[in-house]
Amino acid sequence: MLTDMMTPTLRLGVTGLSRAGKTIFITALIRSLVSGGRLPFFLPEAEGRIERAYLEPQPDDAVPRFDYEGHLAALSRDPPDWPESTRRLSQLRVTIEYRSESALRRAFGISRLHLDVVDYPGEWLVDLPLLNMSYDAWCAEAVAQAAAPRRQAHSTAWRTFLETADPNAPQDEQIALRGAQLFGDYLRAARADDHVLHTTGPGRFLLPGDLEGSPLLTFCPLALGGDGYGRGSLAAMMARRFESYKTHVVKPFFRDHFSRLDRQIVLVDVLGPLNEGGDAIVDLEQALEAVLSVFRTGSGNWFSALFTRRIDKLLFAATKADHIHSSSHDRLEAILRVITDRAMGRAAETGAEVGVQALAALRATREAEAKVDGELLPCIVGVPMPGERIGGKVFDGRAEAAVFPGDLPANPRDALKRDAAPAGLHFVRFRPPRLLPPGIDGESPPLPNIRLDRALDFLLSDWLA
Amino acid sequence: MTSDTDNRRPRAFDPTDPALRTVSEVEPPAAEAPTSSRARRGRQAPKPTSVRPTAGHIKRGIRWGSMLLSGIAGLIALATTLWFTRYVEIALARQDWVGWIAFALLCLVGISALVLILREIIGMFRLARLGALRQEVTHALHDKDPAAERRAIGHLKRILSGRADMKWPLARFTEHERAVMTAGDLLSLADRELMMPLDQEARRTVLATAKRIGMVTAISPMPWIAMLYVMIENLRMLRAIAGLYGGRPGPLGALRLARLVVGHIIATGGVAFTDDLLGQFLGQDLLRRLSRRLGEGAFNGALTARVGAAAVEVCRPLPFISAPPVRARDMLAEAFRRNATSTRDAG
Repeated sequence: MLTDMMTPTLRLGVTGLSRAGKTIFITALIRSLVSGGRLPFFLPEAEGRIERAYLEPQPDDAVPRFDYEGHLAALSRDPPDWPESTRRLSQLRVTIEYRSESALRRAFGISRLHLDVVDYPGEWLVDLPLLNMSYDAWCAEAVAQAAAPRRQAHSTAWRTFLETADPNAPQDEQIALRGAQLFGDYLRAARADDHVLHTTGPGRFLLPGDLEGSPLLTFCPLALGGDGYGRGSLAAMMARRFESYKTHVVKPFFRDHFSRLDRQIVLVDVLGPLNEGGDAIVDLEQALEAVLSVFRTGSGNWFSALFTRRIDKLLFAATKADHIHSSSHDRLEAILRVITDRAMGRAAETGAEVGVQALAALRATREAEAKVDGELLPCIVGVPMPGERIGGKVFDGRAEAAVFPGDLPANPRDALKRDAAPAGLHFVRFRPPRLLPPGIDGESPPLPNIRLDRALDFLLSDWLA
Repeated sequence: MTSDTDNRRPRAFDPTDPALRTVSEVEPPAAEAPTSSRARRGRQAPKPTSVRPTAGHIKRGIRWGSMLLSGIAGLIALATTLWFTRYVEIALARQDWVGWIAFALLCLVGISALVLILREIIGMFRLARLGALRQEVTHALHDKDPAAERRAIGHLKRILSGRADMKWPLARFTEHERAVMTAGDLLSLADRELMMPLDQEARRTVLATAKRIGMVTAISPMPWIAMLYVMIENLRMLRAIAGLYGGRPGPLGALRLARLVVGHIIATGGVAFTDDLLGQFLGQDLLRRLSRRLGEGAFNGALTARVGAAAVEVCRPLPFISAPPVRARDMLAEAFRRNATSTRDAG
């Protein structure tokens, strides 16, 4: 009992927009810790100091458990599949038993560390910037965004509604319902059409979770004139609900899961937006910037002060590094550095240690070289997802193929040019690797990964000293 | 890597495409012999300056002094041989039992001399191979070139393969090898997985030698006996250490190695003195006041440890990257403890 209370708890924040690879990262991390993965550069493991790691029973009764076994099962299916996108919040606690480096602590026997990890839909993360936004500012931004070329087509119905709805009209539940419905439809349609689009809308409109149909979600931005709105008007009602959304949905989410972190890893899928061209990258940069700016220190709001003071190590990771050849990893890291430039600067100012890495929590490909006209093309070999296409070839999701995805720009700033054509680059999504069957000892072989060990070393090893 | 020609547009290949070759995350095709490393050395104009001479510095240059000595030695050898030949001719000419015995002895001398020379030559080659590898590793680390790193690792594995004591570390290393992608990581991994066990063994060897030398110096009745013993023990230790790292030189090779080690000690003397030996000297001064013999023993032991540490640094095919360096200071404390030779993790 006493030892349990003395055991320190490390809260690791796995932050990432949707499709950044949070779930697979957490699954691979737990798997590697629990069953002793291939982690040559995770020093506590390499030095053999980790005695064992095991999953603790769910510590928090109010939060669902992370479906670790389910995700592993999806990966071991035939053909293997990536885990489904996360629809609700869940968490898991891993306890690591290790022998300390210090003789004094070794004298007390085996040391223990709880590692708490939270998984949540990345869509909800885009709510965090709302905390610093008033209803008026949000309206202005959302309306302007709806007219942007990439979203125009989806938002036509909602924008027509905006033209008819008068913010100063008396409040009317039916109008609010209709507006919220149309707004939600627009967000979902835009998202379904374009996976790499990072909407700023409230995340619960995309994935309501348990809030389906709640009045907390019956609001939407209105085309406000500059001259304010009266009490009891439609706009006033919307603004009130916007504030309640912040108070009852966003703040608890932030308070419970982001304000008490010790370490943070920000997962960023750079390759997906790179496929789409400069606009998508700029979109990604803005979305990340908006999310990470909530974690500013000294801004005066109670939660951010609480937050940043305690995170002493922050790792930016470009995920899916197995989708390009390892000779391009440094360029991928360079692009990520440019995208997260401001956030990194802020974190470094507060004294946090910041790292940047290209990683793949689960490596789906091998490397190869192809010689074409005397030129060596660094390729990757794997099974592309069904329906993926490259250079006129469509994959069926069964046959293996070697893919040369093109060269990443040598100057990372070239990737952020607003209307840079996506030419010269095409990344194909791959199926997860086929997991080998368990050996005679009943243990499955470790999951292949790229630099997961370095990431773990950066994030955890000083707590395991 | 970046030429934006049409060749480099995204595309897919069939796994059976003849243009495709799976390189080998495990190991690149070993098309290159040690010659390539020599060629590389020639091409590299700005050689990275290193103060510490290592096995990589064994050179075959023309030196006139040694030519003169060789000439004189050759003449003496010729004279001796002539005299000896005449003597043997006479013996062999005697078609009786003395003649036959002389003939058999001659054959024995010839064969053993041949074997010795061959062994010496092979030892030299092994040492040179270590040196070439060290050069290769240094360049790979300096240029951050993953391909060169893989080649160097291939050579290292070839040197260490076939040794029973390295089987387990090699297997462990190979297991992790595929997962390593960052430049420099592979060598760092090899340093930790392959070199560190050897370092431990080397440390044990040096400790045992230092302890023996300290003891013999302290009890030997005549100084020259102690001197001779120290010399022979040191050479033996050098050979053992070189053998440990895959060198295994003959006696002449050991002498040459000794010269390198001495050079290394001189080059790093200033640092080492303040770093390792200052406290030692002060301590021995106290010890000498108690007993002169004991002080001398401690002193010789300490110097042996220093020589051993230098020898490790000279013979090691890899520089210390992630493994803790073998230092005289760490060993000295242990050398004069009772169980100096017991296995101990000096991590």
